[in-house]
Amino acid sequence: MAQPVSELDYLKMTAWQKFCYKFALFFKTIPIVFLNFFKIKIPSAFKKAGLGFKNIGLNIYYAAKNGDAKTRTSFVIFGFSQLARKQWLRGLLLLAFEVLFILYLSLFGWRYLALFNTLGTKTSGWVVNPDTGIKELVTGDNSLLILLYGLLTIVFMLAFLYAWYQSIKSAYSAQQIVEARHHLPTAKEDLRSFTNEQYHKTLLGVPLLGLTVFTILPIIFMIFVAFTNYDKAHTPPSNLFTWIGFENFVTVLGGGLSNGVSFGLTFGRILLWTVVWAFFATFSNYILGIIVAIMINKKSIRLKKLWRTVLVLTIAVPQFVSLLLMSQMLADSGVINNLLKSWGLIDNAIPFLTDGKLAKVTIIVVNIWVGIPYTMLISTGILMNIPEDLYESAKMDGAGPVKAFFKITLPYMLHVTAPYLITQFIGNLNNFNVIFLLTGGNPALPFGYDTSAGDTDLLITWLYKLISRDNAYGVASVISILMFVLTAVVSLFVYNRSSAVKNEEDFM
Amino acid sequence: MRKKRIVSLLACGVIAAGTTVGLTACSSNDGITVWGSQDEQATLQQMVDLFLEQNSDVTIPIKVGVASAADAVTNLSVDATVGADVYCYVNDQLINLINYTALQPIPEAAVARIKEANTEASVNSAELNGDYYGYPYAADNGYFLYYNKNIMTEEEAGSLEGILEACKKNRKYFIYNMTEAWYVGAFFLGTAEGCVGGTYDVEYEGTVVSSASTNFDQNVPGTEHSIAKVGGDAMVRLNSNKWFISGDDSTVAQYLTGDGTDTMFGACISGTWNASIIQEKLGDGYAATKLPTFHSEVTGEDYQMGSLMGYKHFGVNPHTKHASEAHRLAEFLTSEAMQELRFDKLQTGPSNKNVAKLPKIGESVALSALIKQGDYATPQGVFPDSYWNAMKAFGGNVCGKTPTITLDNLDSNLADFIKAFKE
Amino acid sequence: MAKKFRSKKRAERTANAVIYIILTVISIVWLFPFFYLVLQSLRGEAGASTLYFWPKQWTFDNYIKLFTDTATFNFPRWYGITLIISVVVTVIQTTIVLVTSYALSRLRFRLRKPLMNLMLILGMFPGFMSMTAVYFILKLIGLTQNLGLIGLILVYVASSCMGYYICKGFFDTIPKSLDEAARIDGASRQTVFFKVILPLAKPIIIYTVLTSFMAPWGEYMFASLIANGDYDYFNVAVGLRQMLQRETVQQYFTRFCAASVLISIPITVLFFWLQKYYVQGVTGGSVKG
Repeated sequence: MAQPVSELDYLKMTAWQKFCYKFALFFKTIPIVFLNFFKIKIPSAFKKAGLGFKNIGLNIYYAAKNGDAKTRTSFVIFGFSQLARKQWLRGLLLLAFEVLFILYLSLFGWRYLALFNTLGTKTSGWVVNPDTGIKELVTGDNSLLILLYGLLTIVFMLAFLYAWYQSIKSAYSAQQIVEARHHLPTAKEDLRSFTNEQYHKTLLGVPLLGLTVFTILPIIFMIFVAFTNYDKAHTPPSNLFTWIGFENFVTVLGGGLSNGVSFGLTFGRILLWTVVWAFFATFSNYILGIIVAIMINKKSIRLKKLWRTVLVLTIAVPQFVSLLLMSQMLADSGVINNLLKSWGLIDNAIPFLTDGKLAKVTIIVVNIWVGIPYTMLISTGILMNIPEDLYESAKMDGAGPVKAFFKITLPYMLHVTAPYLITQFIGNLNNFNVIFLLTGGNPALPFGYDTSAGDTDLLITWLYKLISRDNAYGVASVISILMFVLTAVVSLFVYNRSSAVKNEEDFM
Repeated sequence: MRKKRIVSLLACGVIAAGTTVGLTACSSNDGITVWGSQDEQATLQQMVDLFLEQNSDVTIPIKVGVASAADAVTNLSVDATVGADVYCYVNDQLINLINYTALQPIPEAAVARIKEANTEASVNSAELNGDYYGYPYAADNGYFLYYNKNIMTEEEAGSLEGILEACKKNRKYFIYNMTEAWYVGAFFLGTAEGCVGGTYDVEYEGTVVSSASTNFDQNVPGTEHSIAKVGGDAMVRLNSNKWFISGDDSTVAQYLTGDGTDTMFGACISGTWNASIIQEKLGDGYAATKLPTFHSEVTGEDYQMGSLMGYKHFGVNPHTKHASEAHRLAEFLTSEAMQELRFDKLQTGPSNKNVAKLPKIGESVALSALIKQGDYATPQGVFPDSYWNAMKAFGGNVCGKTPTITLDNLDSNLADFIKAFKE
Repeated sequence: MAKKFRSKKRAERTANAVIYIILTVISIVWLFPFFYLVLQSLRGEAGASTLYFWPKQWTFDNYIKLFTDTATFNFPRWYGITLIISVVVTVIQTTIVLVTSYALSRLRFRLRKPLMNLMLILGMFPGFMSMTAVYFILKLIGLTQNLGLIGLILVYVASSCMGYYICKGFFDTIPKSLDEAARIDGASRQTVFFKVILPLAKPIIIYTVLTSFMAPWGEYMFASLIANGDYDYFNVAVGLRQMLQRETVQQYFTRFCAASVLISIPITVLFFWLQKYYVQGVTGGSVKG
C-alpha cells in the first residue's frame, strides 16, 4: 500500500483508499525523517553552532584589537562605552546587570558553586545544650540547596557571559558607526525600536524570564537529580546525597528496582495503558466536542446560551470536587448503582471502578464528561471564524452538510487545532487529576506485578506513589526523563509535520 | 476604547495585587506556632491559653495554626525551617520527619516523665536508635467493631459468623474495608491468645530499613496450616458472603442512613472518628466491642482478629527559636490534665495510663471497645512501603464481585503475597 | 420547486428535532453530577454519602452555616482570598498568553521555531517532581512567608506562556492582509497588535480569561505549602480539604458540597456574562475588521 503511486492512480482511488494511502505514507516517512534528523539536522546544527562560536570569537578579537579606549573599557565595565557615547539606556542596563551579578556571586552564589562537585560534605548532627539538656540541631550542608542554587549560579554565569559579549559587541559596533560618521541610535530611538523592529523582545522578555526561572531551571534540577543517590536513605536536609553517575539509569533500564522481573513487567503494562488511555481520551474528546459545538452552532438551533452554559457548568466545579463526587456516585454502593437497581435494570452492582477493565472504560467516559466542554469552547470560537462564504460557495456547488463538514469544517479545524490536539495528547499522558481523584490507581494489579502499582495507574500517578512515600527521587527522575524524552520526541515529530505549522504562513 | 479596557483591567490587577500585599504583610513569625488539625483548633487554643496561664514566665506569643497530621508532614518535607515549632503527627511518619530535620530529641528528664505517665507502647512508638522524638497524647489510631445491638446480641457480635448470620436474618450489612492495607492485617496479625499469630518486624539502621520480616509463612500454632493460608482463606470466604460489603467511611455512612427511614447497617469495622455518626444514626442500637473471631474452614478452629494500633505525638521542630519553651509546651499539651480535656472535647483515646482508667472513658462505648481490642493489637511501627503495598494488593485482589484470588488459586497467590513483604 | 423547498424545510425541521433531543440528553447527563452536588448540599441528614438519591430532609443550613459558623471553617475568608488570587492570575496570565501568541504568530525573529518547540515539550515534565525546587527559588526571592500569596500568584502565572498554542492558532487565522495594510499606513508592530489584532481576538481572550480564572480554585498542593498552616491564608481548595479529613468528613460533607456549589457560581456567572462578547466577537469580527 505504501508503494509510491503515480498521480493518475492516486486520483483514481476512492476516498477511503486515499486515506489509507496517506496513512501508510505517513508511517513510511517516519524512519526517513529520523534518518534525516541524525544525518543532516544534527551535523548542520553542529556546523551552525561552530560557525556561531567562530563569529563570536572573531567579534571579540576585533573589538579587542581595533577597539578604542571606550570600547576596551567595556570589556571590564559593562556599558561603559555606551554611556560614554550617550546611549544611556543600553549602558545603564548593562552596568546594572554587571553589578547585580557581582553582588549575587560574592554574597550568595559562590558558596553553593564551591560545593557543587560533592553536593556537600558536612552532615547535620546533634549537640547537647548544657543549659537546657536539649539536643540541638547543628545544620550541615543541604545537598538539595547546593544543587539547586549551584545550578542557578551557573545559569546566571551563562547570562553574564552573554551580557559581556553583548556589551563588547554593541560597543564596538557603536564605535564603528561613529567612525563612519553615521547616526548612532539614541536612547529614545532604542526605546522606539522596542515597539517595532525589536517588539518580540518587549513582548517575550517577561514571559520567558518566568519560564526560565520557574519551569526550565526546576526541570534542569530534576534532570541532575537523576544522577544522584537522592532516596529515602539520603533525604536532605538531615542526610547528604551525592553524584553517582548513571547508576539510577542502570537500575531502571536494567529492571532492578525492587524485584527485577515484576518491575519491568509493571513498567511495560503501565506504559501501554498510559498510551492507550491518552489516545482514547484525546480523540474521544476532540471528535465529540466538535460535533457538540457544531450542533449548538447550527443557525436554526435556539437557546445556544443555555446549552453552552450547561456544559460549562461542569468546568465551573473544581475537579477535586466533581471527581470526588463522581467516584462516590460510581462506587459499588453508589447512587448510580442504586438508582439502576431500584429501576430494576440490574440485580448486582456494576463494578464501575472496582473491575480493572471496566474501570478503564469508566475513566475514559468520565474524562469525556470532563473534557468536552473545553473542546466545545475552543471549537465554537474557531467554527465561527470560518468564513461564511466558504459554506455558501459549497452550497452552490451542491454540497450537503456532511460533505461540507468533511470538506471545509474538519480540515479547517484540524489546521487550526492540530497543536491543541497534540497538547491534549501530551496532557493526557500526564493526566494526574482524573486518575488520582477518580480511582487513585485502583483496583489492585494481580500478584506478579510490582505491588506498588494499581490497574488504572498511569506512569505519572505511579511515579507519584513512588516518591510520595519512599522519596525515591533519583529513580523517579530517571523515569520522568524517559517519559519526557519519549513524549517530547513523538510530539515534536507530529507537531512539526502538522499542517498548522507547515502552512503557518500561507493559510488565507 | 480597547486600550481603555486593557488599562482598566490592568488597574484592576494592580488594585488586587495591592490588596494581596495588604493581606499578607501582617503575619509575623516570632514566638511559637502550634499546628493541629482543623477540628481540634478550639481545644488546642484552650490548652495554649491554659499553658500561658499556668506558666507565667513564658511571655512569648503562641499561635495556633491549621495543619492536619498529613499536611504537616507534606509541608515539613519541603522546608522544615519554616514549619511550626510544635505540631502533632502520627507515629508512622517518625522516620520521615527525622530525615526532614523536623523532630528534635526530647530531653532526658522529660523522657523519664512521659515513660512514667503513658503506656509503654505509646512511648516506644516515639523511639528511634535510643532517642525519643515525640510526646505521645493519643492511642486511638486503631479499629474495632461497631454493631447494631437491635439486631444482634453481644455474643453474636463476638464472631464473624454470628454477625453475618444476624445480618442475613435482618437484611442488614456488615462493612469492612478490604481494599485498604491498614485493615487487611486484621486477618493475619496478632500474637495474643486466640489470634493466628502473625507478626511483622522491621529493623532500622539509622533511618534505613535493614530488614523486614514476617512469619506469615509459618504454621498457626498447633496446626499444619500457615498463618497466611488461614487468614487468606477466611478473607476469600468472607468476600463471597452476600451480606458483606467492602467499603470505606462513605459506604459506612450510606448504609447507616439506609433508605432514609430504616438503617441498613448491621456492623462495621472502623475507628473512633466514626463514633458520633454511628451513634447518631443507630440511636439506642449503638454498640461497639473488640473485633470478632472468625472460623477457619482450614483448621476448623476459631481465631480472634488482630489489628494495628497507631499513636499520635506532639513533636518539637529543631528549628524553633524557643526550644525549651517549645518542649515545655509539647509536654504540657500531652499531660494528664490535657489528655483528659482532649477526651472531654474531642473523644480522643488517651495514651496516659491514669486517664485511660477514668470511669468516663469506660463509659465511652467506642473507646472502651478500642481499649478491649488493644489486647490483640499489634503496635504500628514505621512500616516500609512493601508492607502496605503487599497488604493492599492482597486485599484488593480478594475483594470484588469477580475477585482475582479465589479458593482455587489461593495457594499460589499466598506465595506471592509473602514474597511481596520482603524489602 | 415549491415542493422541493418544502421538503427541504421538513428535513431541516427533523434534523433540528434530532439535534434538540441529543442536546437535551447531553445536558441531562452533564448536569447530573452537578445536580447531585446541589442535592447533597441541601441534604439535612448528616453523613458523607447516602444510598438514595433525593434527600429525606431539605435544608439551607449548610449554606447558612458556611457564613455564620466561621470559627472552625472560615469559608468567606478563603473565598475572598481565592477570588483575589484568581482575578490577579487571570489578568496577568491573559496578558502573557496574548503577547506571547502575537509574537509567535506575527513577528519573525531568530530562534522562533526552537522556542515554540521548547515551550511545547516543557509541559511534559511532571510538575510535582519540581515542586521543591520551585519552592526554594521562591524562598530565595523572599516570596514564601510574609509575601507568600504573591509568590503563589507568581508560580501560577510564571509559565503561562506555555499555553500559547490555542491562542496562536487563533491569531494565525486572522488574515495577514489586515496587518499589512496597517503597516503600509505606517503603523508600528505595537500599533498593529493593539489596533488590529486585539479587537479581533475577543473570543480567544475570553477563552483565556475563563480558563485562567478557573485554575486557582482547585489548586491544592502549592497553596497548602505556601499557606504553611496559616489558617488565614488558605485558599478554598486547601480549606475545603480540611472538611474531608477522616475526623470531619461525616459531619461536614454536606457543607463541603454547599461550598463547592458557591465556588462554581462566579465561574458560571463569568461565562454567562462573557458569552455575549464571545459570540459577538467572533461573528462580527474577522471580516469587518
